[in-house]
Amino acid sequence: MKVAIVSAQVPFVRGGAEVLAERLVEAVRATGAEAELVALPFRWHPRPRLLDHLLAARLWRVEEADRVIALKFPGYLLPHPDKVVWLLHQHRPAYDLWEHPLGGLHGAPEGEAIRAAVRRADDAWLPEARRIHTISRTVSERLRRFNGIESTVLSPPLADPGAFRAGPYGGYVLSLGRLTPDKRHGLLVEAMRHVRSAARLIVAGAPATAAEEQALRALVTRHGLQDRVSILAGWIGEREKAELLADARAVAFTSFDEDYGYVPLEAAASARPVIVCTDTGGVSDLLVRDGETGLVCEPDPRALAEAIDRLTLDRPMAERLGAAARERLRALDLSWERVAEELLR
Amino acid sequence: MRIAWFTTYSGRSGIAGFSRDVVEALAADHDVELWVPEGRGPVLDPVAPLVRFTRGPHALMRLHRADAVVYNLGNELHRHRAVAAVAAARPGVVVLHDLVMRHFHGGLVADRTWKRERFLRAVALHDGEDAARLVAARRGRGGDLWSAVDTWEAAPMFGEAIAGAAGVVVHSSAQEERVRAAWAGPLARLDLPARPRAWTPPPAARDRLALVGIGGVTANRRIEDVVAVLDADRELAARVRYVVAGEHPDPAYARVVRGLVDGAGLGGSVELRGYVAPAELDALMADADAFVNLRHPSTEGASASLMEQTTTGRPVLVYDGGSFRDVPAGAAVKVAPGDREGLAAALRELVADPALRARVGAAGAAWAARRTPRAYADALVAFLATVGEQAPLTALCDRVGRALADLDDDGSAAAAAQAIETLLP
Repeated sequence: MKVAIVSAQVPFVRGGAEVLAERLVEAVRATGAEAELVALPFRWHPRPRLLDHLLAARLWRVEEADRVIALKFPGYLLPHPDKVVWLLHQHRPAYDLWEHPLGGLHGAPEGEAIRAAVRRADDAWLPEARRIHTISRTVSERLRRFNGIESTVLSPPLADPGAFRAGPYGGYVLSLGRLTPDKRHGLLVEAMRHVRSAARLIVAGAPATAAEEQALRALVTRHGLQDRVSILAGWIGEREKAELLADARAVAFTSFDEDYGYVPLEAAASARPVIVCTDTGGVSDLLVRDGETGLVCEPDPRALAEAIDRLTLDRPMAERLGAAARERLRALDLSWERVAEELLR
Repeated sequence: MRIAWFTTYSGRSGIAGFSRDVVEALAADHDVELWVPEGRGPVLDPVAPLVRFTRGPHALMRLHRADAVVYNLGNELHRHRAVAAVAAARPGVVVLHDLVMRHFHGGLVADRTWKRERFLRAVALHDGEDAARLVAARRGRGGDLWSAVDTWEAAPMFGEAIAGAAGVVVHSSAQEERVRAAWAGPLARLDLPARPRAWTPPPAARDRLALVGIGGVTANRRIEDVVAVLDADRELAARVRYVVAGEHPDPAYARVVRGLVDGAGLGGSVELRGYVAPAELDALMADADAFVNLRHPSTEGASASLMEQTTTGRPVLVYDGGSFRDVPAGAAVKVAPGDREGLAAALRELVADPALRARVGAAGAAWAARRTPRAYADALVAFLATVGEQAPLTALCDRVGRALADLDDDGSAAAAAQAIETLLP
């Protein structure tokens, strides 16, 4: 069986979705099938370019494949008689981020047209799939709410669960993820102004643009937090990430409305407690229980500062929650074998 | 919304008056510029900032500041050539004031040579092979193919005026049907507005009633039908004075009508007055007991003169064809196109029955009062917004079409067109 795993990628931008796609290729190959990753180049700026990419995805053909597993907009629009969608996310500026500052379409002269076209494309062509799975309840709920399309959740496992280890509970809180506004690293920097304990914050991730990195560094300087906040700007390799996690006191994952988010899984695999916000969504809904496997607080600097202080000042608590998080992850029994089996059936 | 409004703005053009009324309404809520061709003589009072434009890159570059560009086009190419030149270079919304655009097409494309084969090819392209066969079989008064009135409806040839438009506005259901059949882009039918004006009541009863017709004297005005009715009914002829005010763009037709009038000895009842100045026209309308506004075929998108006449509270007699089909029963006296017996009966009734004149005049005035420039402006802005929303997809079609044309790939073009069709509203 020949399986094409179709995704979309902004060239040279790498994140969790790219790791997931590559790991899925390995998992499918492990079943004995042939698998190839077909990543359609994708850009959404300037805005009308998005329509070109949407149309291009629709015009591509992968006739050599017996099965297409499609992951992301606009890759899942590619027509194929035997297509299964494992939806990482739709083009969110046309949906839940429409009026959100992160969206970027609303208010633009051509914004309405692009939003309408994206929605029509999803309405018309997503249901062509044999089955639609999503990576989280958050994504499934959006799909139902905006498009009236039902789906089932198939949670992605970690790319390499064995890569993580539990080290000593150090003196820093770790925030992992690309330096983009939706990851809300800036919110954590603001929180550090109110932290009473000796906790430090390490932010580690590749900046989306130089301006994003500069803005974050400027925020640190403006609040005089240079000795308490470190920014490791750049792509963090898997080994480096595992080491950072192993020695952290806790992991803060404060993204806004995540589709999934590997970071809580990686933290749990490293037996670290996770601090998330009430609006973080994604896998945190599945994994993080307030006071059991981590702490859940409002997306507010003072509330986050209090959570950081609790885990820094109460080491046994951090250890207890971290151990429970790892146990919770084990109980979820996420495996690539099961994912491949489900997507190939 | 920033709107660039292209129009002829000469005082002798109905489109100029329309532009003045609508732009005045638009300018209350939007930034509107009146783009008027350089060197076209005196203009009406500017109701918005005036931009005198010439062809060239400056106009095109400046237009990128506008959110919407509106081109007013009609059949008389000498009035619209400069506007059409910009419209061809920068897509915008075309307000198509005429259904029959033969002179526009002829002047723009055929360069007035109007060669038979070239003309027939153009008819086939824009209006189909059946229309081309019909046109080939008919001759106008001069033996030409262009002026044969009975082929105007079959081959209106408006295609060149809207080719490449971002959207089209029409003014009647008849025009909408024709444009819809020939063009796939965004289309809106808006009610041609009437300029609210206060008129004196119709004159008191008198021995000889004033019947007034307004507009250029062309063959589709069917003045000869009225002359024939009066020739056949001398008693009726003695009760009316029929005055036609308007230019004579078709001198041959005017000569025919004059010959009929003189031959029938109706000089005391029928007068072709020619062009009259605005003040004289107002006086003529104020003195009218009824208006005669016959068109067959109807070549306009809708009749501006009808709108003006109905606002006076006088009854208007029309042929019930083309854009006049949209006039509600009772708001005008309607006769089947070309039905001279019906026309005679309607004229006799109008002359004999003051109550009928008052009733129809009042109903017509009420109908016109609802069609305000304000309502037109609001509907137009909504349409411009819709067109703006579709613009990225239109541009996408254009980009993909150009790329695939370079590759000579018809199969991909068909697949792309099918996909884009799904994305359109």
